[in-house]
Amino acid sequence: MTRKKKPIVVNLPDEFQIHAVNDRFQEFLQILEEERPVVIDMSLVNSVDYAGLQLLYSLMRSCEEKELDFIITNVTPPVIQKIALCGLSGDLLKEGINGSV
Amino acid sequence: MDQFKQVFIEEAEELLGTLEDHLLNLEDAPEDRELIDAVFRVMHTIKGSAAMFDFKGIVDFTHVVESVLDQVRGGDLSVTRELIELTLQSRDHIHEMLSAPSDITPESESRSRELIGEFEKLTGRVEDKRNKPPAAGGEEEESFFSLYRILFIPDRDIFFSGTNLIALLEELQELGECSTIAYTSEIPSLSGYNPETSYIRWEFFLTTKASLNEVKDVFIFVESSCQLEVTLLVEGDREEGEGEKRLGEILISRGLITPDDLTGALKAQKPVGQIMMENGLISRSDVESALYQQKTERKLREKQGSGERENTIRVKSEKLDSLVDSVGELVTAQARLSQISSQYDDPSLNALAELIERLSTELRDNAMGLRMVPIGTTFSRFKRLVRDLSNTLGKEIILETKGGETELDKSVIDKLNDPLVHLIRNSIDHGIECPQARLEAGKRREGTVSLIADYSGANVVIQIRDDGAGLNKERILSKAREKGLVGVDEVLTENEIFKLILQPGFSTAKEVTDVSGRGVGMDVVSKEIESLGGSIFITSTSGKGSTISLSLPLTLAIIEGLLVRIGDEKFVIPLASVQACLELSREERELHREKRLFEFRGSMVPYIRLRELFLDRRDLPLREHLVVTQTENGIFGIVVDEVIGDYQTVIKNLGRLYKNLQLITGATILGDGTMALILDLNKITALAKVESSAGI
Repeated sequence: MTRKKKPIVVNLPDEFQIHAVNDRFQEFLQILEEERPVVIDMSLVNSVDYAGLQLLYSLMRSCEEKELDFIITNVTPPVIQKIALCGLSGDLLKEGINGSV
Repeated sequence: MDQFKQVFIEEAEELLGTLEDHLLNLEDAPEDRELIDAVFRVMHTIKGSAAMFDFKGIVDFTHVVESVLDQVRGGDLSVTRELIELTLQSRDHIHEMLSAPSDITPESESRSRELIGEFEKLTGRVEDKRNKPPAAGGEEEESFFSLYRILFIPDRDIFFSGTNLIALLEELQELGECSTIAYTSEIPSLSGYNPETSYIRWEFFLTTKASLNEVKDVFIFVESSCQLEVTLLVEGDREEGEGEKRLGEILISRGLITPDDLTGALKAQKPVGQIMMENGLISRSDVESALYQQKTERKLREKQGSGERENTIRVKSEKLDSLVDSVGELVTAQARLSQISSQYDDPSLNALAELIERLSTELRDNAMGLRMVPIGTTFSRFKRLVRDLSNTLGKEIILETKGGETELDKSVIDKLNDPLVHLIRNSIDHGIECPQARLEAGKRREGTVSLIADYSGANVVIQIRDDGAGLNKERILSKAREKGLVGVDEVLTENEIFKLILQPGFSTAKEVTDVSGRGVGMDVVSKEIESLGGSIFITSTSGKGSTISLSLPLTLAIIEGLLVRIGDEKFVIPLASVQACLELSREERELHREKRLFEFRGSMVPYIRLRELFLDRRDLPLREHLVVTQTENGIFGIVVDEVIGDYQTVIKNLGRLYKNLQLITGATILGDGTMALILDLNKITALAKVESSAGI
């Protein structure tokens, strides 16, 4: 019997925008190396832009390739609105806005 | 952030310049739809850019002006002289606000209110159509929605433009019902990901009452950094009998489906290429190839439609100055290399020196070319000046420009603005007569001021020509004698008399106006042109008008010179002035010894011996050379000991200690490290004329 690995929870800050994506990108690369499910907690995020959402999408794709669970959770209304504006709700919020691993 | 704000201010200033041009052209062609659209777009762009930096004062004000222009664009408001005047004043107000874009001062707020009030007087009320919510019922409901398909592919590097794409998508959503499809297949996993690259492309289906232009306007800020296709699938508000209704429209009008149903159905449609591929008629590469052809043809059409769209980058002028300085140093070092190589009989060294010389000449030309700017941009600014002055003085004046494509060094153009303003003001104030006086003189009501630029050798000649009353030679002469500028018996040529108006404090204007007539200005013009290494020539015919010609060097940094020697000293004569190099034979020297004349192309031409001007008057060499030059004082021969040859002259200023040096314009460093002075031929020949008339 294999035991399911404990997920890594990433708490994103209040702003997740272009000026922070380079740092986040490096952090996400390190997280991926751990080969564990990823939970992105967006409860603090009030402001996100296209660059931030696209990076989340790439992380999601990386998790899919490695067959790791990927969940975005506690999404705040302004972020839901931005995700919908970009037409990404179907992919990024497929587990619902409070999805669990 | 400050850096971005600075870029915003610079771009906004450029846009305001464009706006002024468009408005002035629109005044002459009030029905021109393209101009109306262009004026609207400029205002919209300024508003949008200001919003990015939260410059509230500018945003609020431009929003109102934009709404008025939108009414014009929609055909609800006509282009009148008053509207143009108000929009020009608004442009000036925005220009003022740009000096402190974050601040809303009481003065600025009051001026905004004042202008908005004027707009309201003109339009009844400023109707904000763009942000008006969809009507809940009544007449509006009867009109059809249009359905657009929008394909939006941001360039990969769009993040670098600072564009906020989400704000753009929000703006699009505000226009109506919008379905968004994001194509994400190109987003790589993190291993191949670049956080500063855009990978998504979007397709939108927008149901709205907005026009095609209004939909396209949403993408104004990114149109140069994306691929955009806006296709009208279903057209709303169509006039009856204007064409066959589409099935979707009929079904909506019968209440059988909603616009959303139609949008959904249209979304389900497959592209033709996909159907053909599925039917096995064509391969994927056939589709890609056809799409490529389509894209190329579209690009070509766009290029033909909008003129040659050049790829440009914005570079600070200081960087260009620095480049030119470095090139100047390189040219000097190259001269030294050439000099050294000539002392050795080494073919490899000589070949290398020649190669470096060729390359440095090419680099010099390219570097200088970077700083060359067409004078047309400066000319177009004067259209507003002429318009406003004509209104102030109650005159009717047309500004004509010619040769706007003529290029001059940016540093020359920058310093040329003020002198040109003075000269144009003078032409309008003192030259062009009032309409009544013109009619009485048998002329057209409207006077004409022409600005004409053209190349003349290594110089550019700019003419300011008017068809006004012309200069009064007698009055100028009598005023000059009264002021003691000209002796009672002194005989002057026509050009010399006219040039008296360039003397400090000289004005023959009967009345001093706000515009000109205080005699302050023309002497400043003269000094400015002289400081640019240029000269002024004036012609005028009483009753017919005047022409002031400014002859200016193309550049102030590096010139082609003729290197000459007197004794052990070397001097540079600007090659642009040189007409010929001759030998001054002993016979010729003796023949006209006293008068110092020589025969050149059938005429007797005076000469000046530089040795006598700068060195020992007695110790004449056996053989001398004559450099025949064209100056503003006529043709003169300059006698030197030896003509060494042409020389790329990097001009160095002599510094403040030598600023009053009269006969020299600068210096250059030669290949052997010594210095050569650059001669000011106009001053030298003027001095010679004075000495000659004084019998020295």
